[in-house]
Amino acid sequence: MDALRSLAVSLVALALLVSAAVGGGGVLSLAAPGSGSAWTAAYDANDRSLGAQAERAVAGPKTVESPYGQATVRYDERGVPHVEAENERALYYAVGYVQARDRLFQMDLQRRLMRGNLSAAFGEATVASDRFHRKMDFAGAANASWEQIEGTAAGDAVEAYTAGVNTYIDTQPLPTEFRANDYEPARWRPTDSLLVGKLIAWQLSGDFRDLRTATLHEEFGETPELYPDSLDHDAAIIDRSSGGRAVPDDVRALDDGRDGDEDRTGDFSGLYDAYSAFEREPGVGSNSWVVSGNHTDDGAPIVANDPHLSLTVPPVWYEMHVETEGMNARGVSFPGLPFVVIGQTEDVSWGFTNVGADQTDLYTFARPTEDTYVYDDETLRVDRETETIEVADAPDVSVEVAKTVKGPLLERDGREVAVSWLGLTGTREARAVYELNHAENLDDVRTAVRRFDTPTQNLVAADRDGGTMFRLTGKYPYRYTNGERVDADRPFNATEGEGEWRGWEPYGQTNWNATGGFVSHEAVPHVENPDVLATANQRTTDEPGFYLAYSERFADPYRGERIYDRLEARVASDEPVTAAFTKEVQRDVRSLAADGYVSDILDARGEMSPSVRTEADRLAEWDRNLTRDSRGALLYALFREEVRNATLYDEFHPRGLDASYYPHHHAIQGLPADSDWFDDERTAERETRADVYATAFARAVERADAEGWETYGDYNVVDLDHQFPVAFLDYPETPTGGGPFTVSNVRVASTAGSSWRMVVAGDESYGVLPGGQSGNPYSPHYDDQLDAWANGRYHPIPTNAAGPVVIRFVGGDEEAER
Amino acid sequence: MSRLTPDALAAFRASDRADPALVVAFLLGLAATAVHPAGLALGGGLAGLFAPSLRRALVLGVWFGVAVLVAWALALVWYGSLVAVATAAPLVYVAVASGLAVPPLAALAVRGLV
Repeated sequence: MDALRSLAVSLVALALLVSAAVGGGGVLSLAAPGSGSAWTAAYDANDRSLGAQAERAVAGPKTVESPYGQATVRYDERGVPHVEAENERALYYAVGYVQARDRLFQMDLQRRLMRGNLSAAFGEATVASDRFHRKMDFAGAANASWEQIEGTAAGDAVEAYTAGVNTYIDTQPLPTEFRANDYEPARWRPTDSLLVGKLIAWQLSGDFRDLRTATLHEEFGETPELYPDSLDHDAAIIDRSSGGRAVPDDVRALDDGRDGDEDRTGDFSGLYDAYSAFEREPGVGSNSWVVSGNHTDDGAPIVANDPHLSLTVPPVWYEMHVETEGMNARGVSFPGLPFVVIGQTEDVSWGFTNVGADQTDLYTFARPTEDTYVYDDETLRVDRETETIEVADAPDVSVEVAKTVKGPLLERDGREVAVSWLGLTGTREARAVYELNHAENLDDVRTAVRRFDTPTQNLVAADRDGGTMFRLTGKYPYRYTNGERVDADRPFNATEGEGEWRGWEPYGQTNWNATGGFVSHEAVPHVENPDVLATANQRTTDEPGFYLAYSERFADPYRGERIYDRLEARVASDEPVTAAFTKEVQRDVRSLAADGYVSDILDARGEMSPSVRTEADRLAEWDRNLTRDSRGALLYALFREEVRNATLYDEFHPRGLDASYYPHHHAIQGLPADSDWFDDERTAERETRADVYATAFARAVERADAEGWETYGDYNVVDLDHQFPVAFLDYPETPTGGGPFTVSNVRVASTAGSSWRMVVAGDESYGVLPGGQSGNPYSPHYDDQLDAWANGRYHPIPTNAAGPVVIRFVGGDEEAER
Repeated sequence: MSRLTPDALAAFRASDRADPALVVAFLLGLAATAVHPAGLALGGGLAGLFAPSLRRALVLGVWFGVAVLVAWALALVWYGSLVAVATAAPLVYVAVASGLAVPPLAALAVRGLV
């Protein structure tokens, strides 16, 4: 009987084991204790662990063969790599290796996005993205850019970097995300690095706002009160700066191209709705400023920069310090790029913010047949190619890529435009950034940025000799219609020869010196040796001398005004501008946007119910700071989210226009109290600003109560999730201060904000990331800077190596002798 | 005792050599677990093979699973990533569950058969 029972137990156990192996074998192989592939990364995650220290003590640093020569990688206490090498190629080979070690999944994700290959790994959810990116053929543009840098020192660096990435892919365990999703990365190519550059450039300068503008004009006609050419403020970057010499000083008045543009309106809402998800995100911006040594305690200039990009897991930026003969640079790069993009050398520091200039024009064509279009009195064939998008766990999808002389065609709902985005040609910004990493003085910076074709950036820089500078980077195409220069805020009719660019060649090589093609480098606004200059994506100058952009592409002025207010007050006082003061300004949460609303909310209290009025009374005492413990800040922020909808919904919604068409808050604040826009078209009564603000504030109170939010910190929670939906990869939720329009910048709704804070003040320099250096979830540096970032702390970022040597690259003797 | 149990194995289980064999089985299983998930079944199976009874096989299987988890935790302490792994839900739940379930099942399967 016992024997039978034993056999029965055995068979049941065996059946359970077989079931587990068959049904859950994959999960077991992923997560089994010890050998599960999900844990592989845990054994090489902590360079300061007992094991790692013991291994280094016994066997020395990990050794990696390099074809280019010797290099060492130290990791400091925050997981920042300090790479030192005997020559540049050895350096960039090591950089490629360590970036792959720390961020390979993120690197692969970026190139998949831009090549339109996400669906092969992630399935049907990403087909729309793949379709768009294939149609735009960013990969073709990256190939064109590679032709521009191949064979140069920057190209050699990219090739060495590529080899380093591939050595890591070939020899080391893959990151957890690959294991969990069961796919492997393809080998890295030089054009993948350039694609990362295209990604950033598109996110900062690519948009379809001309469709939006044309649709708004079609629906409402001219509405300068909502969409003025320029927002009414006096905080333009150059105009409010002090000291130095602004160039050019003989700027022309802005061409008034909006007159006579009625024939360029049209309902492009379907097209815009389809593709606006892929344009640069409204509100993505940044802060930077430079203060000359005339106002600092040690006579050294100060550069501050905090780019406001998407807040992601891991962060969009990767901090690194790279040193070889003739170069010593530290700062942040985008994973996938070999060079420091924002940072400092031993002699120069620099930072970028987005200009918002118009580098994207859209064109319509007469189309005699499906395969032809008319341009310049010629009937040309559409260049068509059918591509296949591989989709994981679903059938493949075909996409037709169609191109014209004006760039790729995008269509939706019977509407079609060709997209001329400047970055679709062979651009040279990789060479520019490479040269920035070698800059020894501001002249080197000036030389480097001549090739910074896209995106358009506000560059602030300072050098050890006390020089300061500001310059717009990028190429600015002139547009011609009938031989006259015109602006470009709506789609052009290319068949009629409107909006011609000269010299630009999509997916080919552009003649940057074409006669009348682009604004000359000397004529692009810049300031030599400014004393105080601040950029926060506000309008560059009232009179740039050419069509730069209209107000919708620039930011509201609040951040720029606040920075100028703080800096000017400090300079006017007896106190010097210091690194500590600069960090304090970067963390400033005083809202000038609130100034534009609060008094009118208080004036609207007569239209509120008693309970709502009691809440509104709090705003009278509120200091206008978006701090975590403030009830007033919470109610104001929720009101701000409601007010444009309360004002414009009745006009916009019936026309099929959603919130993406709403104007700047600054424009709403400038409307007179009895503006027609405040009147609700659906009621017989005539509403005014007080009615609308009372309604919006009541909604704010209602929402706070419904959500259970007491103070701003309950609402303003940064909740960053990894792209791969596994809970332990996400960052912990972190309440913080600041908002979309304060200097200390965060947008919790779209998870964007200060993606890197940097202050360089003479021999002092500081930085902090919103998360951590490592993409390895088991690393102590996965999110170790998140709390510091949320609470306004920084770490020093000197150009000195620190930490133990963790990896030593050896070999490459022949290369080293070359 | 199962009819399939060889006499030699039965004698071995009853001998003084059974306990050292179990120690070796544990060590072999631990080593195997470090390189492949099947090590959980191997270690549990070996423990069951040398166990004197079915009930004892179950207990030894559980102990082997605990030993695997403890050894793994110590390795993670050594590599400085225990806390990060311990909070890697839900994967870590699978790790603990498989560590506690697979070895005893393997031990029962083997001991019940032979």
